[in-house]
Amino acid sequence: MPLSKYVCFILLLLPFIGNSQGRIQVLTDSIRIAMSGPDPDSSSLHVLLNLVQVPGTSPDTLLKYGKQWYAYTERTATVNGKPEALYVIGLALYRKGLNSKAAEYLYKAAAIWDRDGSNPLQLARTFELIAGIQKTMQQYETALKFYRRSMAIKSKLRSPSILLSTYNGLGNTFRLVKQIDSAIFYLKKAYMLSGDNDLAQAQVSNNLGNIYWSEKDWQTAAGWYNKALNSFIKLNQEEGISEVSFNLGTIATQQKQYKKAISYYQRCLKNLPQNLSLEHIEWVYEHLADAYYHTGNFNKAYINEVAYLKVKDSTLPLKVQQSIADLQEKYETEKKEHALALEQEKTARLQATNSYQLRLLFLLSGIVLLVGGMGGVIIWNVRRKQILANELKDKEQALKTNIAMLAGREQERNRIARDLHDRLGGTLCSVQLCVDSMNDSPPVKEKINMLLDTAINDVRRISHDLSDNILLKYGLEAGLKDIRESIEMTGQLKVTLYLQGLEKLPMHVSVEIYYIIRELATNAIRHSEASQLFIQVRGEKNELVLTVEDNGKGFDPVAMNKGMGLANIETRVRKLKGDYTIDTVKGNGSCFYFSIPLL
Amino acid sequence: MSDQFIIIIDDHRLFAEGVGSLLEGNGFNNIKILSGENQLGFQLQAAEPPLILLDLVMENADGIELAANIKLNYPAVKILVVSMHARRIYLEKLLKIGVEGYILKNVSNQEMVTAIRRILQGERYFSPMLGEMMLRNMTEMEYTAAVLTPREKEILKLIAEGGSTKEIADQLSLSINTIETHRKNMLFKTGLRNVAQLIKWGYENGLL
Repeated sequence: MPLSKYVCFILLLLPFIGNSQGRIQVLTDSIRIAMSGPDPDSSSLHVLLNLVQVPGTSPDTLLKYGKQWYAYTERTATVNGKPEALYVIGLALYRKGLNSKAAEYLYKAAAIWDRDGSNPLQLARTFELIAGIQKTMQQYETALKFYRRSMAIKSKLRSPSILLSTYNGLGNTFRLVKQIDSAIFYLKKAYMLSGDNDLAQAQVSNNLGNIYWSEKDWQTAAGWYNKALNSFIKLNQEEGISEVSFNLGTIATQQKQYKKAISYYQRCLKNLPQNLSLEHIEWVYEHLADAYYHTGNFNKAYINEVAYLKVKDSTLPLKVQQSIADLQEKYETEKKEHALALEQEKTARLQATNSYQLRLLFLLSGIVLLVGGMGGVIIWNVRRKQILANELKDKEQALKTNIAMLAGREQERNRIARDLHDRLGGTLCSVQLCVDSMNDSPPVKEKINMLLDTAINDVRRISHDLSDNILLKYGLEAGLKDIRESIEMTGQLKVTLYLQGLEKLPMHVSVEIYYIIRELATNAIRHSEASQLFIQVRGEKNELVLTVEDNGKGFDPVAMNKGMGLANIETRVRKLKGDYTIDTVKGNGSCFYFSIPLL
Repeated sequence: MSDQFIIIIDDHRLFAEGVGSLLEGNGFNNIKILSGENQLGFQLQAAEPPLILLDLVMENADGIELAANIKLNYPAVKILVVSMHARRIYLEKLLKIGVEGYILKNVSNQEMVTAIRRILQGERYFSPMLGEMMLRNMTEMEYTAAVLTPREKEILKLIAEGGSTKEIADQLSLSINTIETHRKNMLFKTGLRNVAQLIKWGYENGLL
């Protein structure tokens, strides 16, 4: 086939075309050519994947060709190239910051590769990418799961070096879930594999440094940071040099070696990459000012504090001006007091008497220094808290809206339940009474009666399913038993309830727990194909533990993210300031864990 | 029999009147309809009826509380609950209060009349559907042995094999907290005190 020959020819040329823009051009050209053919051409599939590996390819380009290729496979009704296209789309979305969407595409790609087993390495890469995305979305358990799957595949491929990135990812994720031993284990493995790959060596040692840093093992942390620093210097990578210097600076500060710290911070400032966020720059100045403060160099401390505040200026102008004024005043008074102290010292020396006064002076200036330092620390803390508070406020606002929406819906449901039951139900029963006393031919009467019976039973069931009457009147235990009764009446599921310590539960907690369980039970009935549902609620002294487990087909939590039910559950859990985890594997049931703090 | 006084308490006027005319057609001529607890006290003091037909869930009254009140103050008055609702919890409460009967609103006319006649003769009457419910309730009571969930069985096996909480957590990609929750749930359900007893229990019950 001449077409594919042409593509091959271009690909052979590829390594010789150095500049990446040129390479991108060549690759996109060959993708277009490959797609112009009527039949899918498997030999040109890796062109698409090659495009991913060229460093300068923009996410938009990737997205465009990924989507075109996907459309092409759809048009030609073939599996060939479909996972590649999905992978490219997923990667593009990830680079655009659309995490959950990206995960969705990657998951589809992985599913196809997993099934046909055609490209294990690419499958492992995809798993790893999904893991990375889950990690940034703070779904650490899921991230670990995918890293492990990636590791399992890569281990079979007999090329140890490809495991480097997996170990690194595992290590970093373990660090985030605070399983420090595992984190160190994997990162050290990654370090062993890094060989003469300077970049990998730099990154892995930096990560190891971070771990020991958070463990407050300053000595070891500094050792790894120094390794990282050397590698970054070899690579001449400014961003890395800057970051590691900063970290080394904070360690020196911790060890009260302020002069050393200052030189690290200065190195960090010298190597600041251009696109670094203001927040980081702000931090560096803040730390630098702090270090100068401790060495007693108030002038430099002041200059750096001003620099720090200048960066901050855009966010909190008023507060900043206030604190500049404060600090300036403090600096002025300290200067005066210093001058005064010197003056007095002189006279004291001249008089060569009364060492007591001298000691008092030292003590006084020590107090001044202490007060100054404390003031600075307090101002910084207040300001940092304010930023956090603002972020929290936005989140809280969203939560409040959701809570209000849910409450409105509960009310509405109960109203509908009442109306259905009281009005429609009663009316239907009255009709039945009338029909029953009619002297009509038996078969017709029988039929009408049967229809009415069905209608009444439906109204009864629907109104009951919508109402939380029993919960409100008789409490959580009765409410949950009632849920079990409703479910078992459908004959689909056997429900096992274990309840303990619910007697003193406050009503507002009971209501949320009740709705969470109802939501999960509904999901189990509709989607899980399970035959058994276990609901276990245990009230302890300070905590309520709820698990809801079924033996159904499980689900894919990534795809489930959008489900309305889960969003509602999350809102309810957050309303109670609780926590929850989902443990589910396709084909092996699902289990939800909730932990709700009780005051 | 026709002079027997019967009070119907139901906030659904149409239904109450339907029942009223059904009863009149069957020879009960002394019937009073009330839409809630208003005037009930007055009525009961004026003349104690042998029977009250009582709805459960009303807009302005709770039938269960009302039944308890009537039984407390006028124990001779018989109560037949006529409701749309068929729930075990209501049945349990009503049995405790000691009502004479409980039927659903969509029973046939004939069954309703039968229920009223029997109760007036001193018997009790419950709809067959509710009888089934009671039966299920009793079988449920016998069934108290601990049942482990699939996840719990899996974890019990790993515990029996000597795995530490952390190892099990790693192996199943779950958090330590989660494993702890399972362990505590198992102890709670079996009523055992520690893991050693739990493992023994697992062997005895064929789970290991």
